[in-house]
Amino acid sequence: MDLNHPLPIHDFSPDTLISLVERIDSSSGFQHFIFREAELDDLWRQVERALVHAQSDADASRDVDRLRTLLECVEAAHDLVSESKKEEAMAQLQAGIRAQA
Amino acid sequence: MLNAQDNELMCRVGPGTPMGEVLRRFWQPVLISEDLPHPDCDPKEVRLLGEDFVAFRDSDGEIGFLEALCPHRRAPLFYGRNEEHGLRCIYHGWKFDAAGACVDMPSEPAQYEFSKKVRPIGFPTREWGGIIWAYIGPQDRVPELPELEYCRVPAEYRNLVKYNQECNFVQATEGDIDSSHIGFLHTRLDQKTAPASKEMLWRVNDQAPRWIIQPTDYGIMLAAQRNAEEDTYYWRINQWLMPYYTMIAMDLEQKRGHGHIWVPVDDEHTDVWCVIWSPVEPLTQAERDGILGGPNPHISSLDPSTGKLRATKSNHFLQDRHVQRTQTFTGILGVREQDTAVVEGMGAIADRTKEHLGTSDSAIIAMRRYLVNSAKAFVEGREPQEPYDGGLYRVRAWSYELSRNIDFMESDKVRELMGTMVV
Repeated sequence: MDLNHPLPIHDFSPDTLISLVERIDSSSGFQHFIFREAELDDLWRQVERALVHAQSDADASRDVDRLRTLLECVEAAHDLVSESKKEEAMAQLQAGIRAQA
Repeated sequence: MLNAQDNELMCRVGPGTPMGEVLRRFWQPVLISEDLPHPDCDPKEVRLLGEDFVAFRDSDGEIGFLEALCPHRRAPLFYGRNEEHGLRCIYHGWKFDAAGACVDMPSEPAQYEFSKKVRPIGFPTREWGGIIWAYIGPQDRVPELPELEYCRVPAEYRNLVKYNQECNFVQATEGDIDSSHIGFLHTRLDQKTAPASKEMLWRVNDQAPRWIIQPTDYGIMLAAQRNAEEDTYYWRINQWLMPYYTMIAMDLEQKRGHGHIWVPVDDEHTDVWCVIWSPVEPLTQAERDGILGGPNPHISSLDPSTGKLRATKSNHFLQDRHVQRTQTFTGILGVREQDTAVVEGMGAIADRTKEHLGTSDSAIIAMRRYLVNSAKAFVEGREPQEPYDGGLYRVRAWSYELSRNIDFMESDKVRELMGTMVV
């Protein structure tokens, strides 16, 4: 696991969130957390885009609540990682995984 | 992305704000020495961290840095008479020396000794490295001056110029931290087909450098590694030093340095200092002339009478769409005009809750984190440490071609390059 570079984030599937939890868990030090914050920025961007789409598309409207919850979890994890609070950040992402179930 | 609370915490610089108080622990560069060219010259108005001051050079050449308004009836001291070792208010003649003590009060009977009952309105100053510095923080915590290389070289080795930018100091600073914009905002269209140097070629051939972002005692070291030759890497090391100094990688020969100081005037304005220096030789006249003129100026439209750029948001920074189609990426003349166009265009204080950062923005994330952490630490009662060790600032930004086998963080050569050459 290369923690010294941001991982490209392609989706917000449970597998992706689990891998981010693992990366946060293994991180230590300023540089690691900067790159974890960058990864969560990337994730947040994709969830937000999906949420905006779901809000404007009747077929996807049933996903709105789930995506809104996920976005809140990702935002919280982002801010916690930026303070190097990794346990709390991982807990938020795990809540996001449960919200997707 | 930065949440709204942290954005406010990071950007507000007025008295009593956490970031404002952190900033007030440092010496502030307020004027270029030549701005007060001789004893008893005209005073200057200075706005700094949301507060107003007046600066003057007295009959002995000493610098005075005073509250802007006379403590008597709040008249602006800027209009005062700078004469015989003090600045005299034009309203009722009260006079203040360089330390800010009231030394004459002709409008009051002498027996009242009223002048001794007025608190001093001055702040500590230093003049060093061609810069007039002022300290407006707690008087029991006067810090050390930052021992920046460009302050320690002879005057003829250095060029200082500054202008005022209409945005918050953080987004202004971010322009220097954001290395990836160099390949766009400041490029000529022929740069890829006719690179001017091997450094340029390496930068063109490897546009996705690998980063080392290292927190230090002074701020953050930002190292970008690019492929150079088969067995070498091209390293560019930039520095961000608390609270608002940036240094951009020198040329491969380490003969020319380039940096900026981003001094917050208030929440929505920044004084941008552009510094070019050599650690080894005087700058040539052609180099000095090329900073404000010539075909590729650093600043193309400085109006010395206002300290602002003539290229502004209201005239679209004099953008030439024909030049944009045929010669340069932006069609805007001047490196600083190009940067100013984008950072002022973000609004006075960028709304960072709406941005979408990419992996190339890691350095910006790091600088913000350092600033936010400093402000939060201050709120929790921890003082910043950087202001009290000027020697921390004896680092340099550099570039070099190094063997691929070198362990960057352990290399003696890297350690040698990291320190300044000027003792």
